[in-house]
Amino acid sequence: MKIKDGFVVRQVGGNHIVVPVGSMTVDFNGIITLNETAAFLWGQLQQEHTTDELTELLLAEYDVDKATAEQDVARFLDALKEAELLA
Amino acid sequence: MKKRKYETVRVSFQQLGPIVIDCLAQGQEVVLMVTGNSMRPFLRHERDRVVLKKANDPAALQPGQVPLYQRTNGWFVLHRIIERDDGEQRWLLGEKEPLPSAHVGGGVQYTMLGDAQTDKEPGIRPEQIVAVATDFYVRGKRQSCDTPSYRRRTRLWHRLLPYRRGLLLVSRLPGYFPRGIRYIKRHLKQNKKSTET
Repeated sequence: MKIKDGFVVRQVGGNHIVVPVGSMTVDFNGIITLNETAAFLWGQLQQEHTTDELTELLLAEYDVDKATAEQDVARFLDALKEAELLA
Repeated sequence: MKKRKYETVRVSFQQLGPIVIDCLAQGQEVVLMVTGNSMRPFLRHERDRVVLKKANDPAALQPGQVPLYQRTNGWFVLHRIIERDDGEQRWLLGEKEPLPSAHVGGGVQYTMLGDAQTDKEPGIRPEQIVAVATDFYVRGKRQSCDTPSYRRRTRLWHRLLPYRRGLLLVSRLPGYFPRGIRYIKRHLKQNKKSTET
């Protein structure tokens, strides 16, 4: 899976903000912000990756145990699915 | 199972500014939550939203329009234009005939006033205009800034400017009333307690 086209992540202050670039309207109330880990995963998902690959990438980048990493990846993917951001 | 919850992150407009300006520059409409109550009774703090578009010609805005502009101190503000002075003529909100210009600097200057304010802010130049409101979401309902009835209401509200403070006070009464009653009740209770002990 991979992130849909048409979104860029911009950093303001400590927040990573997902901005739709193709749409006519940008509603800043419904806008998605990413935390540090989510921003990292988002970056990885610019290319095609499986869930297991994402967990591996997270483990390689962060000092975290496998169970937590798996859980975080799952949560992140759930949120993306819900927001219909996966291609 | 717990339902998914999103954590809401508040990002101030002063931080979002560059992103908003980029979106506007690309021709996108931007929807922002209204913060502050300076546009009461038309717009409420964190209840209403505003739809903004880049102004095609920032020097051609008319009294009654609501632009987002940047003050010289860097702050972004959304207030209503009540006067447009192009150096020759001065058009006032709600007036059919122009007055002679009041400034000699040349160029277009706007005077701004929030709907809940009484102190005018003159001397806003077209370069400071970032965007202009095209629609509002008031209580969640979309409303165009371009309808005759909306314009009529803004003109009427402006004509009532001399009574504005009083009118705003009255419009806030329903909000104060229950609070006032609670205050009295609490007071009575406390008094009772202190007499008992």
